[in-house]
This record gives sequence, C-alpha cells and structure tokens, in this order.
Amino acid sequence: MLPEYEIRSSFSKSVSLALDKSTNKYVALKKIAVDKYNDENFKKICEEVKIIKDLQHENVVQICAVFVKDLEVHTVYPFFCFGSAKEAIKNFFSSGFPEIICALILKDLLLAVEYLHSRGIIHRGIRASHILLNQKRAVLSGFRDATSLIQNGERIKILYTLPLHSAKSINWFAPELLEQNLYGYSEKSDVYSIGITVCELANGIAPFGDLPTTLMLTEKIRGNQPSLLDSSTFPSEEIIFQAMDSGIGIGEAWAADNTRQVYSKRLLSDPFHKFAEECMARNPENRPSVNQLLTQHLFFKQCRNTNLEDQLKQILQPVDLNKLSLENIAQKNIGDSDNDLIRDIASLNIQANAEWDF
Amino acid sequence: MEQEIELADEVPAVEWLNNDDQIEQLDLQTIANFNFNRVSSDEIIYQKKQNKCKMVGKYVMGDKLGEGSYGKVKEVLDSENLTRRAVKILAKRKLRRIPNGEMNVRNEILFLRSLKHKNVVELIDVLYNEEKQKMYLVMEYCVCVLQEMLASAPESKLPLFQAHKYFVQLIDGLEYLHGQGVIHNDIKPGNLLLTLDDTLKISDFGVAEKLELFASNDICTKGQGSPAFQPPEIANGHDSFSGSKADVWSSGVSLYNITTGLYPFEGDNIYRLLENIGKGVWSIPEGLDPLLTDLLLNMLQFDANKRYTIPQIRNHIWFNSSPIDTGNRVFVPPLKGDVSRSSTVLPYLESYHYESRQNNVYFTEHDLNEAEELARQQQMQDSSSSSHQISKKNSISNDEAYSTRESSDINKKRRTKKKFISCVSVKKLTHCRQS
Repeated sequence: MLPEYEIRSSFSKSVSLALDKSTNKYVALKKIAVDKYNDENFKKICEEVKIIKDLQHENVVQICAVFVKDLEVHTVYPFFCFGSAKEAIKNFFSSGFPEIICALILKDLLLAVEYLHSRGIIHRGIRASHILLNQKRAVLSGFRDATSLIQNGERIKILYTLPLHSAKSINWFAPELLEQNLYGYSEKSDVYSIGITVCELANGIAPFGDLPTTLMLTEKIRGNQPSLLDSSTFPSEEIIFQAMDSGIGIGEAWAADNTRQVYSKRLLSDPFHKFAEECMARNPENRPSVNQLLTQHLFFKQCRNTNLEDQLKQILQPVDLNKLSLENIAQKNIGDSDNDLIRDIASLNIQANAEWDF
Repeated sequence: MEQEIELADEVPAVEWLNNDDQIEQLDLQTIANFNFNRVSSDEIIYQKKQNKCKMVGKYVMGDKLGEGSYGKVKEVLDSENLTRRAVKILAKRKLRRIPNGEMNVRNEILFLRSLKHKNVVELIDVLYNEEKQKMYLVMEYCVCVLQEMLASAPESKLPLFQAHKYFVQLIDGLEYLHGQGVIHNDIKPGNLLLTLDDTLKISDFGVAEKLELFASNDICTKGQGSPAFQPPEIANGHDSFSGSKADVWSSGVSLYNITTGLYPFEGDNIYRLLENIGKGVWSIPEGLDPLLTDLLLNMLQFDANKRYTIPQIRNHIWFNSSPIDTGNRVFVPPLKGDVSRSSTVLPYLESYHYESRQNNVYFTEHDLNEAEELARQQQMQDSSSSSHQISKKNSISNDEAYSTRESSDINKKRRTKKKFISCVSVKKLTHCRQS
C-alpha cells in the first residue's frame, strides 16, 4: 500500500484504480517497471511526463504525481469514469456515438489539439483510445509519441521520422507521415489522425482495422479515405462484396447484420461528412488547420445550445465509486481488458430499457 | 507473397558453407553449362515482367540503393511498422573473393551490434538464408550518401555552414566510437550517410578495429581504408600506428574535401598517391576561411604526435564557431527524378495489392511478333477512323505511370503487350546465366 494512494482495484497489469487519501478522490495509477525498459524507453517516459507537465488546458490530461517505488515509475492521472472513448464505444455504442456526442467530443478534442499546436507540439497519437471521457468533458491523453517542434531553441517546420512507438497507432497516421520521404510532415498530420478518429467515433470501428499494414499504406498513399457510414454512404450489399473482394476497408464487423442496419437507417449531417473528408485530405496543404476547423466549420453549430454533460446524462450515468464495496470489486473477474471494471460499474447504472436514438 | 527466408531465431549462427571446394564446384558446374547455343526464336520463352514483391523475413524488398564491394544495398520496408530500412546483402560467394571479406563482415556485425549513437548508423536486424548462402544486415534508412550530395553540388563543395554542421556531427560520432574502443579506419564522405532529417551517420565498419578493453594505447595494424584518406604513417608502410590519430587525419581529409571540393593529395595512380601522402606536402586553396585553414593544418599534421586529438578539435575556434547561413544550402539531389526520394518499395506493393493475379504469363518471341503485327494492323485501321488516336497513344506510352492503371480496358490490354519482358528460361538449356 502506498502512503497516499490506496489501491482499490486493478484494471490491468499496469493500471489500477486508487483512492487519493489526501483529497479523497479516485485516481488512475499507472506503473511501469524501470528495469524492464532500456534507457531509451525510460527517456521516453520522462519526456512524456515533461511534455504533459508543461501543459495546462482543461481538455489535456493532467498528471497529478509521478514517483518511483520499488523500481517502478508510478504515474498518477485523474480518474475518468467512462474510460477512453474506445472503451465507451466497446461497452455502450457498438455502432458509434450519436452525431451530437461526436460533435461535442470532437470539439473538446480540437480545443486540446489547437492548444498543443499553438505551443509547437505535435501529438502523433490521436485516436479514440487516447480520448478520455467523464461526465463533463473529453480529454486528450496518450502523449508517448508527442514531440515538440521547438528543438535547440529553434522552431522547425518539418518532421521526418516515424514515431518510435508507432506500431499501435499506425492506422491513424497520415499518408505523408508514413511515406517518410524528404517532404516530411507537419502538425497537419494530426488533423489527418483526427479524421480517422472521427470515423472511429461515428462508426464504432477503427478504419483499416483488419487490413494488412502494407495495403493500408498503399490505400492512404492513393488518397483513398474511409467514410462515415450512414444511409447516404453505406454501400449496398453488392458493393460490400465487391469491396471485400478487393480487400478495401470492409471488415467482418461491417458485415454483421446488426450494425449494418444501424448504419443504413441513420443519416449523418452533411457538415459531418464534409468535416471527416476535409480532415483526411491526401495533400496536407489542402487540410484545414485545427483552428480553421474550430472557428469556421458548420459541423460545430449543433454544439451551441448543449454540452457533453447534458447529452451523456440522457444515456449514461457514472457511478459513485464510494458506494462500491471493495469486496464487490475484488470478486469481479479482472480480465485482459483495461477497463472491465468500468464496464461493470457503468453497466449497473444504465437504464435497462434505454433505447439509443440514432 | 513469396516468403524467401524465415527470420532467424534469437542467436542465429552463421552457417556458411565452409568447404571452399564445394563452392568452387558449384561455380564450375555453372560455368561448364554456360556455352553459346543457337536457339530459334520460338524456343525462347518470355515472361511478363512484374514488379514482383519479394520478402526477406518481415521486410519487403525495394530497389537497389547502391553497390559495395561486398554486395548490394537495397531499400526495404518493415511490413509490420512500415519503417523504411536499408539492407546490406552479403553473398558468401562474393565475400570469398575479397581479402579478409568474411572476417570483415563478422567484424562489422560485432561492432554495430554494440554501438548506439545518434551519429553512428544503427544495425537493426541480421537475417540469414542458408540455402542461398546470403546474409542480410538490416540498417537504419539513410536518404543519401554525403559523397552523392557533394557530387551534385556546384564545384563539388558545400557552403561552410553546412560543412560545419556535418563536421560537428562527424566528430560527435567519432568521439563516441573512440570512447567505445572502436577505430573506424575508413572515414570518408563515401561512408558518411545522411538521414531524412539531415543527421549524419558514420557507416561501413568493414575495416574497423576494436581495441582491447584495457589497452594502454590505440595501436592499430590494419589500415585497409581508402588510399586518398590514409595518413602518412600508413602510406609510408608503418606496421603499427595510432588508430585515433589516423581517424583524425581521415576526418581532416574529409573536411578538406567537403569544404573545397578538392583532395589534399592526388596522384595518377595509387603508388603516386601514396607517395605524395608519404611526403605530406599539401596546400590550402586560396580564399579558404583562415580559422578553418588553421584547423585543417592541425588535423593534417604530418607527425601523428603533433596532430590534433578530438578534444583539441572540440576546443578549436572554428569548431565552436557557427558559420553564417549563406542561404545556398545544398539539398539531397533527386533520385531518378524523384525530388522527395519516396520509398522504392511502394511500386512493388502497388503491383502486389492491386494488379490482377494473373501471374506467370509465358509467351515466345513468335507470339510476340504476331501480337506486334496485329497491333500494327489495328493501329492502321484506327488512325483512319478517329481523332482520339493521339490521346490513346499517349496513355499507352505512359506505361509506368500509375495514373493510367485505372484507365479503360482497351488501353490495359494494349499496354500489357508493350510491357517490358525478361527472358526467364530457354528450352533445352537449363542454365541461362547472365555474364
């Protein structure tokens, strides 16, 4: 037991839920064994912490504390009751968030990224699993691949190297980033990743998920982009089979009857489609900047008279963690998924008959 | 996708054919079968040339980047994380013909495995193919060799600010190497690589030497580097010499070379060259920066004992100055017309993923002639009928461009006829080998 943090339960091998005794708030405790990692990885962790510590924005994750105990680096983050957007999709929105919630999450995300870009930081890992959700807002995390454009006191305009820990985020990367040629890439590659994340949030599945990585690469370089699935874009069955034949972005999940019906019944707004398309423009110069998207895009009009809290309240309700007894949690089978617990907790409070309004 | 070889297990043992006679015999067999026979044209079988996607382990092969004495260097793509890499392909057959070839390769692997520095090229992976007697050294991808950049520059030299930037990185890398007890022995612009973000990497450890861990001095005996960059003590045939001082000399010659476009020592042939170096008389071209001249004088000091050490170089005023950016930076020259130097693996992937899977289309020269005749007749007819002809022709000639891949079926059919072909086999002759 750590002095200030009382571990309540573990989400996975490395992440646990803990109670901060001094403030009586719940936190997420992430531990990384130092001896397991080589120098470079350790440096990366340090850099990540350093970058986050310099940031102060309500949509950027904060680190409450970092300390070393028993050869393990512990990083303390605030606890987010719905976990990441990816987990929320997995647990509650298998065919994607409703458009209005997408818009509200994206607005928060863009505010965070705009802030980063204004400070010369490129995130390079924007994806649903790096967006954390609570009742009030979406927060950007996952800064392992983030890098500063300010190096040795100079602001550089172009980057060239593929981020080190790229294997997981590779499907979200912009084509010019993957190309690794002399043209390099800039903060606009984050905008492309936002585009892929838009599809992920709205469709419930990440694009290129089951493609071989090399095909994903050539698809992106050819300028083929995934789209938001609704009655206007969702292909008829014939086209699906054709696409499956040629292996373009249609996975088994898409063929599942259930989700297919959801897609073909709903209609997403025009600005929403445009928003995704513009983000994923092949040529970075044709991609709008985050600032332009925030200030000029019609898509965010719908956010004016509502907020995430109101929208989520209608569907999900967070749990008062204090009410959960320790044994109760301990009994739960802590499985491989990072956030079994969150699913368990949250499912307790879902109105059993709630029907999603898509 | 053709799986050429399996990724070798954790500690792959080099299983070269150690019996030289065996290999010799292999060679003889091939040569014995290699005689000129007359073959009629319809007996030669052609195959449509494809950008066939080859894999070695998890790496997709691309085009050749260069060729060294030990074998080819090709570009590859890591199919898992899509990182561009370079692979040095070493064939036992070739290595045998080079003095110390095999030893040198073992050397290189041993050194590179233990080295890790921003300015030293990183060895990522080593693969073996026992059947083909080949070894693959997978390395960091570098976009250009410094020498290549020099060759493209006006007067074959770099502006001072750029040369300074590379030189500082060279010294950083060299200092690290010497700290690790490694003497490179072959520093020259041809062995200095540049990455996409303009970082210099020291490469080619074929003739490097590793000093004993507790050696009291840095005496080396090999000196197999490139003649023009050798110090006088090696040119004069000394048995042993100070390794670090020899590297300093070669770095001096390299610095001289990248800033002036010239060599301090030249000679009509290698003996003259070594003779000139042995005398140690050289001159500075007029108009060279005085501070740089002073540094060069100290680095190209005839007497190794008086020659600068790396710490002395670090303390030199020119080293610590920052020459003004004169705005005439030399850029990486285009490769085969490609300014961006994009991955050469992409065309192979394209054809693997998108081209119809009708592999192995064989035909004879006879078929070819017939097809050509047919096409000619058709063209004659077409030309009389429509004015679209010209645009069609253009798209046919635009053979290699991907943009036309999706054009109409008619064009497609024609294009396949015009596609480059390569001889794959000749009836009766089992060994058809290019000389």
